Amino acid sequence: MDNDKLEEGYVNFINILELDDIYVKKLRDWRNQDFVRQRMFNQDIITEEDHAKFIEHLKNNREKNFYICFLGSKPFGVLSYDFDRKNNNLEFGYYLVEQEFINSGLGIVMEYSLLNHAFYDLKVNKVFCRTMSSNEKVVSLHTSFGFETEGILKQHVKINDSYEDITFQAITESIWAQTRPKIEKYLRVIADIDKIGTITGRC
Amino acid sequence: MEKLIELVSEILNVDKESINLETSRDKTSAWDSLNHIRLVAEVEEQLNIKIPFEKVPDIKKVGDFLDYVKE
Repeated sequence: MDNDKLEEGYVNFINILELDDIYVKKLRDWRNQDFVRQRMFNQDIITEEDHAKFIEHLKNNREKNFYICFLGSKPFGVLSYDFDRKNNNLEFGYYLVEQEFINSGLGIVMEYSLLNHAFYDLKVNKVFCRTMSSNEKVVSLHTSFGFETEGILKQHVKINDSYEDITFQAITESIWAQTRPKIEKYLRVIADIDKIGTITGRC
Repeated sequence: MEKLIELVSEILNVDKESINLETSRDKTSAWDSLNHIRLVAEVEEQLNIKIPFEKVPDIKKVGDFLDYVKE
């Protein structure tokens, strides 16, 4: 990895496949933290073998991308997306790697950059996400970005012994163009917008 | 401090009486990610302070803002 990219005050999104093995290992550790797993549809502990298979899968699937997000040299989040080229849509997800970062504003940086990448680099027609309905703050955050709730998938995933609802939300470029200035107005608190690096896809 | 409580009340849309210096991000449902940065932006502007980028995630309760006001 080029450490020059990780300057103080800059936000960078670096594809996991471009990072040293230490970050590949860290990715599994972060993913296996209780507070992260609790928001996942699959809450199983990821084994080393599972993780190795997952990394191999990424190498062979250019439309599935995982990024580690850095503020300066400090990693703060993991952002992923699946680009469905045929239907020209994209599903994304992200999580913060430390519990104390929750509701700190850092998630906004990831969502903002993802939407710009999706609509202005990949030029997708629609971006969507699925969130556990019980995660009300995140559902509300997506709404603030302009996402519309297209439906609730009732009792869609089994978590431990109960079934959980999933909220399906989506946004188009025309809506993002309207809400983007509002997000940018506040984003300056977290980082200079001109110091937020771009997401680079492999497609 | 009164001004700070007023700002928090306004941004989070909760009664002033329910806010004190121990009111925290993780225990206040309205204190979500976007409201956090709105709050920081408004406090910076109204109280004429600057919180460094890397310190913004460290603001975990209302009282944490006072550290910057005092400084």
